[in-house]
Amino acid sequence: MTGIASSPGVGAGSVFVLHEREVPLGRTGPNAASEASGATSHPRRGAESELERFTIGQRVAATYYRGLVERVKKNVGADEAEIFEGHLEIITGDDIAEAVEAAIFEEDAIAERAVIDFTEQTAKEFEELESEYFQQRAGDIRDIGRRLAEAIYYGSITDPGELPEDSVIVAEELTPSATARLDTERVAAIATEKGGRTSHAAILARSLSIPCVTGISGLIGAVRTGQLVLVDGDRGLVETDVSRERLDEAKEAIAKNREQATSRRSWSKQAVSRFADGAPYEIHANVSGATEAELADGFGAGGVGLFRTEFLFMRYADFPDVDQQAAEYRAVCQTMSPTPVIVRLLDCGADKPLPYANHEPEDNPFLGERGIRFLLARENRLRAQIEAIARVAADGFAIKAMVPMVVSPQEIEAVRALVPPEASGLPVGTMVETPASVLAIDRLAAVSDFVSIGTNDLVQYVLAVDRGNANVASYYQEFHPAVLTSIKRVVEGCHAAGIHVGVCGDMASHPASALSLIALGVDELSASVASIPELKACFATIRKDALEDLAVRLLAAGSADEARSAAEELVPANLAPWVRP
Amino acid sequence: MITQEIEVTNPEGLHTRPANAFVKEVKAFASAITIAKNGTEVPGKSLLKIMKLGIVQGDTVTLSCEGSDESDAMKALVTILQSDGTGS
Repeated sequence: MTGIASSPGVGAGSVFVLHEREVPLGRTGPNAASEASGATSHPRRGAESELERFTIGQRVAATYYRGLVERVKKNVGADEAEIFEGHLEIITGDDIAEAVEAAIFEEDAIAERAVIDFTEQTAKEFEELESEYFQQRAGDIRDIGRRLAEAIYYGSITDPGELPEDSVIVAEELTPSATARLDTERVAAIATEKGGRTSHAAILARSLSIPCVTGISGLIGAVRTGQLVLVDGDRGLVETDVSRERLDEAKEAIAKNREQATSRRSWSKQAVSRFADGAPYEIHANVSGATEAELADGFGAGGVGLFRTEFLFMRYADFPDVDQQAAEYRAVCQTMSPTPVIVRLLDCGADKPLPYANHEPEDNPFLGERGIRFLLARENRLRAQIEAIARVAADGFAIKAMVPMVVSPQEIEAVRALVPPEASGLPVGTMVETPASVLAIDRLAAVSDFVSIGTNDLVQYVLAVDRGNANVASYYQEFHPAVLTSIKRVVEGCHAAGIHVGVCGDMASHPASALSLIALGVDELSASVASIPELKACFATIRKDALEDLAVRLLAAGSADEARSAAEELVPANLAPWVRP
Repeated sequence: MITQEIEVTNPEGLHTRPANAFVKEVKAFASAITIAKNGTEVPGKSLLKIMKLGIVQGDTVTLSCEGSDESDAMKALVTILQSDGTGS
């Protein structure tokens, strides 16, 4: 079966279908035994017996939610766990018990029907409230109702927390709350019917290096729990008809890859970041959360040059509050300490809409309300994020705040004005990704503590080419003279102002372009975690003084191809010193 | 019985977490406690009914406590409604 390749790698194991077990609700009334779907609902014996079924189900659900609270407390955080404590209170509270009792005695309902009717009606009442936050609680209430009904009918709640080793998670869609319950250590791969590369499942899978394929229509009907399948996250394929031999073969290959991945990682961890002549360079990592920060540390990154907070925000159902954010930032800083962590302020909008942010449709979202523009229009959100970062800074961690989509120094000043006095030393920097920030770099450098160039957007804005549009993909040229000149100009502007300049875009993750950045005078590279070993391996073979010549050739090149070839000439063919012959 | 009008300053209003904290606190007292907004009064120990009031920052609510520990209860509950939401 084919879908969208959403997280690379191959995973194999037995299917674990993560779906709501169907609970037949019967009709209200004494002869409520059969349903249109053919599933048989519980036959009603009498009001007392229904009430007892409800009470038992309530106990089962309460035990389940208590376990969930503990697990979430351990794996996610105390704040998130308190939300599930609220859900536990709703299940065990008087409101639901009174409503269910009334429906059982007065409307001859079976317990499951009474629960679902009540939660559905309550959900609708929430949807009518004015506050968007309360409207969104309707989904929580429905979820609680479904789980309670499941506990009544089946006497248990299916819990993805009890996964067998090497499970392949199959789901229609992975919601954030389902994600919070997954024991990711046991997940070999993820395959979903809906969603795409930016769905929750895909983001989670990539950040944990779990192979994932999304958007596979008809998947759930085609597999059953326990079936052996193979998920190819590179090609977007799911093989459902897998022989024992094929599976063993795949598992062997996966194990071998894993072994090689381990030696690659330990090589990278111990490799010093120095050129062949001993000259040092700085290599940091781009991460989206604490789990990835641990990987970054494992690969020997010298800090985090880009902490993309939008993915953290996407894991929540609503804007995380100051406590929740501070806990996430602190976790990353603790992992990386004493090396620095650059937190990019929430960069949503355009290609990264935040589901609960109510983005208005825009004719031209890449030129619209994204990055700092989004935040300045919602100052309380900006203030909460700055406060959370400041709190971690006040604890003594080397944390910095970076502002995305900057065009004017006023935007940096507006952010700085929100830094509380107890963290007044918090470094605030500019992310250079617009042509305006290149041309006005001297003004921006004057008000910034550091600069980092986001080359992905810079290339697209300088060359006026949409990086998501396949028809113009060939126009997207990182080595274009206009791009290289822009980078050179930013480096000169920053150095004249005496501040540090890094690059956190994709250019810092590939040997030829990363070398070019160092040649142009960039002080720090921030690369994707997975690319660090190859970068270290490459740089270790090159003398830094060879880059002076490269800089001259890059800036003199008449075309992108010419510049790229000049850089590629320096890159050795074999970049895997960790593979023993 | 004592009653008090309070402006909710907790930036989260009574979202799931603060509302549950409120209910927990109510249950710790012997007094009968209610909370009302716009004339709708609900029992202080009912999380769902409280959440259905949709209380957000800036709303004015009326707290009523009746019982032997009513003044202690009032003090504790006002603290939750007027906390800064940072939990520290």
